[in-house]
Amino acid sequence: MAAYKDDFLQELYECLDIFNQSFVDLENGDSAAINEIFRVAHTIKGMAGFLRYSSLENLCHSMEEVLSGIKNGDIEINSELIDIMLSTVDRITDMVKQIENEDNDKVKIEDLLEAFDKYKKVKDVSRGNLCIQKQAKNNIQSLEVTSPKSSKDNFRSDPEPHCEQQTKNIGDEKTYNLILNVSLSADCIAKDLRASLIIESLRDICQVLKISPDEDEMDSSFNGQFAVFLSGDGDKVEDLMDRISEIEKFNIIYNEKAENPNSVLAESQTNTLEQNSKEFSDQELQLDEVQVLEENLDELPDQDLKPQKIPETGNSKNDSSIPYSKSVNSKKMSSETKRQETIRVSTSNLDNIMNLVGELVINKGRLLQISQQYNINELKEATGTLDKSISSLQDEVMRTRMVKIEKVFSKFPRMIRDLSRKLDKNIDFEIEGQDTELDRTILDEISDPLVHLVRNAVDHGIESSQEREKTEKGEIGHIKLSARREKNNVIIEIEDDGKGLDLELLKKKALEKGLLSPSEIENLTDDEVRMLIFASGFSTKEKVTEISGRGVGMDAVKSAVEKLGGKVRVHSKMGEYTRVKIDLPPTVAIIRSLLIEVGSEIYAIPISNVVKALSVGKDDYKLVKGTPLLYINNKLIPVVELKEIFNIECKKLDKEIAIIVERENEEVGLIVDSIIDQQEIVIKPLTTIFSNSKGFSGVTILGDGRVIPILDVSSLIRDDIDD
Amino acid sequence: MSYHNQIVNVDNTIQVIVFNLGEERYGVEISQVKEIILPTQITRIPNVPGFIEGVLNLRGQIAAIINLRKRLGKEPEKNDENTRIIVIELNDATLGVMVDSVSEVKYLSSQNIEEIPRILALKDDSKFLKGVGKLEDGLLTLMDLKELFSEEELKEIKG
Repeated sequence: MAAYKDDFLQELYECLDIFNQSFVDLENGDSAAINEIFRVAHTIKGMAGFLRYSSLENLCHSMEEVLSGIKNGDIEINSELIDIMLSTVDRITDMVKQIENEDNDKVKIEDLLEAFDKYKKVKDVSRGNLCIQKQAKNNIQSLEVTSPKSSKDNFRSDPEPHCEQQTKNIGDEKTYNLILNVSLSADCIAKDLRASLIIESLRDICQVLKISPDEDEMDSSFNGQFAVFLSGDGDKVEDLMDRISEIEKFNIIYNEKAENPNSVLAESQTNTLEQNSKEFSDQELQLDEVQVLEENLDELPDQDLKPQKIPETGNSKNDSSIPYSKSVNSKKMSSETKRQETIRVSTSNLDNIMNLVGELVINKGRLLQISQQYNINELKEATGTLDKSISSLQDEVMRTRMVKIEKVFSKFPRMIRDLSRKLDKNIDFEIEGQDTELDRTILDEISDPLVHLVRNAVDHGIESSQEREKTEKGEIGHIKLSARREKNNVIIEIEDDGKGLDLELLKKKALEKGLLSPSEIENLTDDEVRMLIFASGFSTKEKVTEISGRGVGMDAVKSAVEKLGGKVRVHSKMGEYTRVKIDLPPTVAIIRSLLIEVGSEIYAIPISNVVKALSVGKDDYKLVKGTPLLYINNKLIPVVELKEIFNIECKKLDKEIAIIVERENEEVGLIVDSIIDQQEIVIKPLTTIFSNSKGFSGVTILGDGRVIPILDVSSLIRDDIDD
Repeated sequence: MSYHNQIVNVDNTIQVIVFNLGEERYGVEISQVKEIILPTQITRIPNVPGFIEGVLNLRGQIAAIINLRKRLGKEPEKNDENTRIIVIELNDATLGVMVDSVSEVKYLSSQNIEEIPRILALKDDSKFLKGVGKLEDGLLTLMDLKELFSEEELKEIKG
């Protein structure tokens, strides 16, 4: 059982993500989300039951019952109910952690069960006559479906050869009326477990008579194909099978025996007709399903399947004598073809591949260097081709590492919902550009800063409902989170239409906290004043709240973004809006950089940090209070001599290069001897023993095998100037 | 558990790589060592503690190199043709320890390993020391090179 635990946990975490998203969708009026929630609750319940986590199973069961009430329209969705459901999700999260750490699910759930019970009672009362109607309908259906059962022999005229063989083995064919053939999808993990779960759920709705292969025979080598002999309602079985996403395809064969092939045809035609008329005459939902079905069929490469969809034409062919089960088949298959386009790969694999590509890129550089040196045409040609293939390989691998930003964004609707309730603010939250892709590493790193920014927007940005009512903006606050690709970078923006930044207040705070002197503050531009919010130890909220305002946040946001080679800017107009704009490179592992030389040492500076580079001599400096500053285009720029801060022993040259980099809207010149090259470099992290040495974000290996440190410009100049 | 117990194999014999710092002989258990390399081009990383020599490229892996002489507070010597780097692997990181020379591989049985004399155990560097090995031709100080890069040690570097 323990063997399944990891798979189970992994799946649970995915389920929880879906839950959080779907509930917010549901509350926002997307009624289709309920199906998703229902499916997920069912999946968890099934697995919890199998692995004997009974509290979890009970909780999901209660939730599922209420959900099915909602689906049927017996229970009305209100935000109280959604609150209960969301706390259920939180409770399940607790359980998952408990299971992960202590292998039990002992979390208190009685209060939730009680709450669900209350709703279930409501449902039972309101159900009454509906039930009777449904009962009647079921009766008719089962009559039609099972009527040909009277003739008990000859069921082997069944046209599916696959099950023919299996059905041979069955002795007590008199008692079952359905044969269900199931193939699990190839990428489904723990197939034996999954099969057991499916069989378990089948037991809930009908009688399971025989399973082939036998349940005991299923082990880890089980190929995922099995047949179940059932006695029960075929529609219910089909319904259930439809909900289980791990099933690649299934078909249901009605054990209806006929004297001759014609009657099989006739009978299945009735089935199909009945089924179709049911589908058409029933509700909108089912109509939708039919449409979806047809769309899916269009996507199928196998055009033969299409005519079979329509019973009239389908029946003219012998091999389509079970059009109904066929159509189910194709529907499942088409969703499967879609699913198989993606596979799960462990992130460590991806990282390894990335490292290997990094080494290839380094070696490529070496080869290119050699081929230039020797000037042999054939060699040049060969290295040229190699260069191209490696570049495309690099692009592809980079793309594999890209993850949709949705993965991070998706947690915000729930968060905003909870926060706005807690703070009693009315907030409309909008997300844009969820499909924008970012490198996995960047996404991981940017997640927490984004959480902080969104919290800030809710807590500090948007005013309370009462305050807002007095303004023209209206009671409802708006927060917009967007992501987009701009040139080579990814831009993430968080905008709220709240009170905006109060520049005077910011200045006052900066003074009080002793971050700047009065004269310094006088000289700040408005933009620079706004950037003060990113200074460490700066928080303007009078009271520190639980949600935000510990004064470390914005500073951390900024350094996280800069560590990734990105930039943060804040735009704001008092009383109108605040917009934080984050500018990120889409990938981190390979960056373009300048290679510069100081003395005999070479360093790399990421291009993203560089504003410009220019040649400077003695005349370009001006002494201000004894400190030499660069005076360029009527602007004074502080300088950092790499020679000095790196203790490189060499003479100061007459003509040097100043690399102008940006630091908190302020330009700083790094003085180096010369620029050697501009090229793509692979970032390799420095081992932990260097983690205290600020000023370097990592190292890279050049084509000739030389190791070159990569400057972390922001930490380097901050330290130097602050000292 | 004492260090004494930790390093003894089931058959009570361990293999040690013998290296030298000046006149002193040290040994490191062979299982700790990944390889021994010549000091090729080492890139200096500015503004780090003096005993860190820098980094080098070991077949695409970046290895941080520390100078054991400097780490143990001995007089630095110029590298010569005998200088070697003992490469170890710790938590997926590749690390190198620069020593004056590596001479041989010896077998040591557990009877011939003594705990560090108390007087030495009080010294700061003693946490790198695992014991003293007795060989026919003299004594040998057993070192735990991984301890050079332990959490505690790293904290000290940062401190």
